[in-house]
Order: sequence, then C-alpha cells, then structure tokens
Amino acid sequence: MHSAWVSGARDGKGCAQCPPSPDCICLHAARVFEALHPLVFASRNRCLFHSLALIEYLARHELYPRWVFGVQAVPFAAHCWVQQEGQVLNDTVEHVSRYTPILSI
Amino acid sequence: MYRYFILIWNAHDPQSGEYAGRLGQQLQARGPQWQRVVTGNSFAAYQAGERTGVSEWCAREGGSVHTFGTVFRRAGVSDPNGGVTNGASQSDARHTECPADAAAGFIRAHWGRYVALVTDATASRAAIVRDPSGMLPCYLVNRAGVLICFSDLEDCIGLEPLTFSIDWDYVAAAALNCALHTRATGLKEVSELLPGECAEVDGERVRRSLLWHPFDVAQTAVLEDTSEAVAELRSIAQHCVDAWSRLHPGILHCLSGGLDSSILLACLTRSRYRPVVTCLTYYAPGRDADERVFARLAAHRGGVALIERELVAAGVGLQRLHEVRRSPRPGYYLTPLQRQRQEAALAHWTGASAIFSGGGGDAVFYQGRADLALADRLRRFGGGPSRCAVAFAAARITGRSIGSLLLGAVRNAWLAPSGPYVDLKLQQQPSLLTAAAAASAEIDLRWRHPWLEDGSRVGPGKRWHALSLAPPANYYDAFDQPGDPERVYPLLSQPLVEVCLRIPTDLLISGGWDRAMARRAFASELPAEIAQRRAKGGIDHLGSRILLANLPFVREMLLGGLLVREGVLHRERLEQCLGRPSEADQTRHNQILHEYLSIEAWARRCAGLAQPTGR
Repeated sequence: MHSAWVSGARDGKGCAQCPPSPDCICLHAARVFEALHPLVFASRNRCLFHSLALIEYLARHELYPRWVFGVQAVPFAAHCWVQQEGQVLNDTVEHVSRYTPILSI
Repeated sequence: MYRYFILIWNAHDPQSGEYAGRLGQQLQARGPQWQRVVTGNSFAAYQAGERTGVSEWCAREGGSVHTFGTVFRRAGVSDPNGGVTNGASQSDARHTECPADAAAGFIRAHWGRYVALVTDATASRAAIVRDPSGMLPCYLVNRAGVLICFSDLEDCIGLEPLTFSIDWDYVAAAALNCALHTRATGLKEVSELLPGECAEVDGERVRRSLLWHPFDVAQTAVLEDTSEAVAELRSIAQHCVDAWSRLHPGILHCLSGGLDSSILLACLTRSRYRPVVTCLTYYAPGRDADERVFARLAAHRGGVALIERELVAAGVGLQRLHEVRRSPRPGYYLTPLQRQRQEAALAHWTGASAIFSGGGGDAVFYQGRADLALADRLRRFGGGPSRCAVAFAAARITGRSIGSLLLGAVRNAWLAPSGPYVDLKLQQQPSLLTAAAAASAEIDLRWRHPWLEDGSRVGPGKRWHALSLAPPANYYDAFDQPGDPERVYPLLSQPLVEVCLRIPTDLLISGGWDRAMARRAFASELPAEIAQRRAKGGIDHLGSRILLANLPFVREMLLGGLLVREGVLHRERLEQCLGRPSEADQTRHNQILHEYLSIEAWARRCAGLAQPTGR
C-alpha cells in the first residue's frame, strides 16, 4: 500500500497543490513512512536507527535525501536527522535548529 | 498579599472559646492590618492585605456564607455584571441545618479563588470550604478545641502556644516525589484542606468531606464530540480570562512563547474589559533556552508590548535561600530566586496590579501521558476517534511502537487499575536517599491522594489528568514582600478545568498532538509556528551553571544540613556527586540537587518552630 501511495505521488496523483517535483515526492514518501513506521519500530531516543530506516526506505524509491549529524555543546548532545534540501523529513525544524551540523552524507 | 485567619470552636465549650479569643487578640495586636470581620458564638474571622473588589471578605446569603478571596458567579446564573461579583449575593445556597450542604451548594454556583466560612441558621455550627481550584491556600491546625484555619503560616508563628515540628517521613517522601500533594504537610501539626474539601466542626469533632471530585466531573456530560468540545473549551476559557481581567486593568503577562501562555495572551487581547497588557519573556544563553522568536510572534499578533530579560547565572546568589517564606511544605525556590523580584519591579513600573501566567495549562489541556489516553480509549465505549486512530496518535506523540503502546494500554486499562499513583512518582535519583528514607516514602498510605480511594471508576489517563491538577498553584511566593502584585493563573480556573476533565483523554491527544483540543480552539488566534510546536526549550542548564557558581554554598547546605543529619540523604553518595560537578553531563542531576537545596532551605527555616518563638 505504501508503495502505491509513493507511486501515486510520482504520477502527480498524491499532491494536488504542487507538481510532482523530486522534493515533493520525497516529502510525501517521508510522510507515509512517518505515519506507518510505529507499526514496526519505536523512534524515541533512536534517531540513528530512525534516520537510517528512512534513508533505506526512500532509497528503495530512488529518492536520496541527505543524512545530517549535529551536536549541541552545552549541555552536550548529539542528534541526526534526514532532510531534503531545506525540508526536515523526520523531525521538526525547531528541534534540529538547536544542533550545529558537523556531517552531512 | 491577601491573608485570612479563621477560628472555629465548640459553642458549648467555654475554654475553647476563651482560647480562640486570646488568639484573635494576639493577631490583632500585630497591627491595624488585621481586621476582625466576622464574629459569632462559635467562630471568628480576620483578614489582612485586602484589595477592594479583588481579594476581600464578603458576607453572602444573608450572612450564612462568608467568603475570603475572589468570587465569581458561575456562567448561566443570572447576574447583571456578567458573572463577575465580589459583592453580597444570593445563590443556590440557603440557610440550612447543615453547613456542609450549604457549602456544596455555594461551590456549585460560584468559582474563583476563595475560602468560605459557612454557618447554619443558628450560627452555632460552622464549616470551612476551599474552592475547587485551590488557588488560595488553606491549612488547618486543631489546638485546644479550636480549629484554626489560615492561608499563611507566617501569621501563625509566634501565636502562643502554637509550635510546629517537622515530619521527616513527609520530607523523605517529598524528596522522592516532588509532585507529592495530599492532606499531610511537612509539619506534623498542620494539615491542608484540599481543593473542593469541607471541614465541619460538630461539637468536639472535625468532619472532613470532599464536596468536589474530579472523577465526578469527568463522568458528567462527557464531551465526546470534537466540535462541541472545542467550542465549549474556547468559550469557557475566554469567559474565565474575562472575569480575571476585569479585576486588573493593568496586567504583566509572563509570555514564554509556548502554547499555554500564548493562548492566555490571545484571550487577554480579546477580553471585553480590554486590560492594558505588557508581556515579559526570559531568555538565557543557548539555543534551546532562547525562545524570544516565539514570544515576539505572539506579542506581535496580540499587538502588545514585550519586555525581554536575560537570565544569567552570575546574578543568582543562593544565599537568599536562607530567607524563604516559611510554609507548611517545601517548595521549589530556584525559579522565584531568578525572577520574582524582577517581576514585581516590572509590574510596578508598568502599572500592573497583577502578574498573569499560563502556568498549569499543560496539565489542564493534557500535555501528558498519551499512552494512558490509549488505555482510556480501550475502556471507553462511545463516540470519538477510533481505537486505531488513538493508537497512532499516541505513537506520534510518544515515539513508541504501536505494539508497545497496545501492550501497555491493556495492562494499564485492566491489569493495573490502581495506577497511576505509582506513575506520578518521579524517578529522582533514589540513590541519593538513604535506604530507610526511600522505603518509608514508598509504602506510606498517607501520601496517597484521597481522590484515589475510588480510583478505578475512571480510566488511568483521566486519573493521571486529575492528579496532575492536584497540586494548586502557589499564591504566596517564596520571597514575597508587602505590596507585591498578585499572581493569577486563569487557565486553572474551575470552569475551564471542569470542561477539560469532561473531554475524554483520547480527544485531548487527537491527531497525534498533545493539548489537541486547545490547539484547535485557538488555531485562528495563534501564530501557526506556536500552534504547531511540538517541543519547547528549557533553561535546565542555567540551573547547572547556578549550582556550579555557588558550589561552596551548596556543599555546606547539603553536606552539613538537616537532610543528612536526619537520615534522608546519604552523605557519602552526596559528597561523591558534589565532588564531580560537570555542567556538560549533569544537567538532570543538578536539577535534583536544586530540589534538595530547596527542601533543605525550607527545613532550616522551619526547624526553629518546634519551640515557642517570637516573630
């Protein structure tokens, strides 16, 4: 079912407000993943696994966003997330803005 | 600040009457600020610090009900002032044979921030009732046949022959669970009259009864329809803010930029009484401690001025902990240390007569246990989101898997009905407590809130919802000075609390949003960036910096303090903890140390009350 949703987005059927650009397709696919992944795994305190799973899922649909790693100095904390250009796909902008990116894959 | 002092005794016992008379004379000898406002065969009442039309004594119901504080009439009851009345009034309460019955009628017809003295037709029996919001303190001491009811412990100190001794079992329980709140207090001689509770003097006995129970409210006229719930929540919230803002033409509003304070601001700017509102927001170094962008958005949307103040660790001297106001139970003093004097000064500068806060909104609107909301939905057979939708909503909020949530929900819904009494107990580093202290704190049923005596009639989520509202907001701050403005928490008003209790918890998390109904109710008034916030920043690391800046003082207070001497804290473990301060990885630990510092400061201030003392 999830593949059909993603394919629908590619064909311009899933998003009425915007043409099926790669960014739009990627965002749509990420939303499908975010909605369904609780059926399979928990994401709390598992940013690495969560991001890797999303990366793998999107890769199966030939979508290749960036995997970003960031740190916060005081108090020290590390975090990672997935983003496509300026769109954060599996977190909120407010949360990731607390971290300074140190690596982007 | 407003204070009251009420004495009730057995009219047929002359000795208790004489003792009550002596207490009243001692109180009035302290100065003209104390006025005797009520006198009868078996009762007398005094007040100080009244603000006419705001916080004051008022005789009602032909003199059978005397209220102390702020009283509004319930919406729907005819009143030319639109529900705001602090003058003599008639209501459903009538002269009856039983003061407790009259008290129950009174709190059904009114709301506010008050304590009421209710008498029978012959004025020979009397009862005290505290309004269900609990925003005005109410403590009881039973001495020599006289029931002493007061709002501020400082007024009791020095009255002969009252003495107070610390209950170290309570202190251990408070050290383990900072959300602890029940009738027992940290002083053995003092109990608290809970919100919605009545204490009636009948001869030699004092009978206590709960006239208001959140579980009763939660099961009455349940709001299962989302549109209806949203509309009623919005309407009642605006009504409550209107009532409070009518009393204060100038308001200093603490605007954090979070959802609750922004909702309150939206209501203030739409109040038909059009108060002059000035907002205040704090920020500290660090990205997660600076939310000025959100505060600015809300202030700009409301068209109000915004004052921004930086919190710096260097300006906070913990030595002032030696001056905290004495009270029946310890508080958490770090926040008032940082902010209180500054806020009082700004209120005076802006001409504000009150400081408003959205405090309590996260509890009222349900920013809590989404997993328990799923348990409630499993138990509930009625309208609203499907169980599947609620499971996904809980997963979105908690980050847990559906399977884990369903297993937990089944357990909480049917297999562990006695919770969440245990769930509210925070895991606060019990390793710093001695084994004996931790053991006594866990098993003592004195720490069980009376609301839980019949806890299984509502689901675990609604139980948690109600208990999160149990600790009332502070009326007196730790470093209050005469003339300071009042603090008002409109989101904790009784009508708004009751509306939210009537909304099932699964609606309160619908769509995967905490405080979902409140977000929907005010979506058109809030900036989208605030309405859709999922997380909020914090200044916990500022507390760490304050601790490090005052480390010698902290070591002396804790290592050489009463908590260690009385066997509550483990000295060696505490010494190890304090010997390796590291701001980077000790934020949570340092927050706990601040809590213990507060308890230690309270204990030192109250330790001398065991002996008769002058003020």
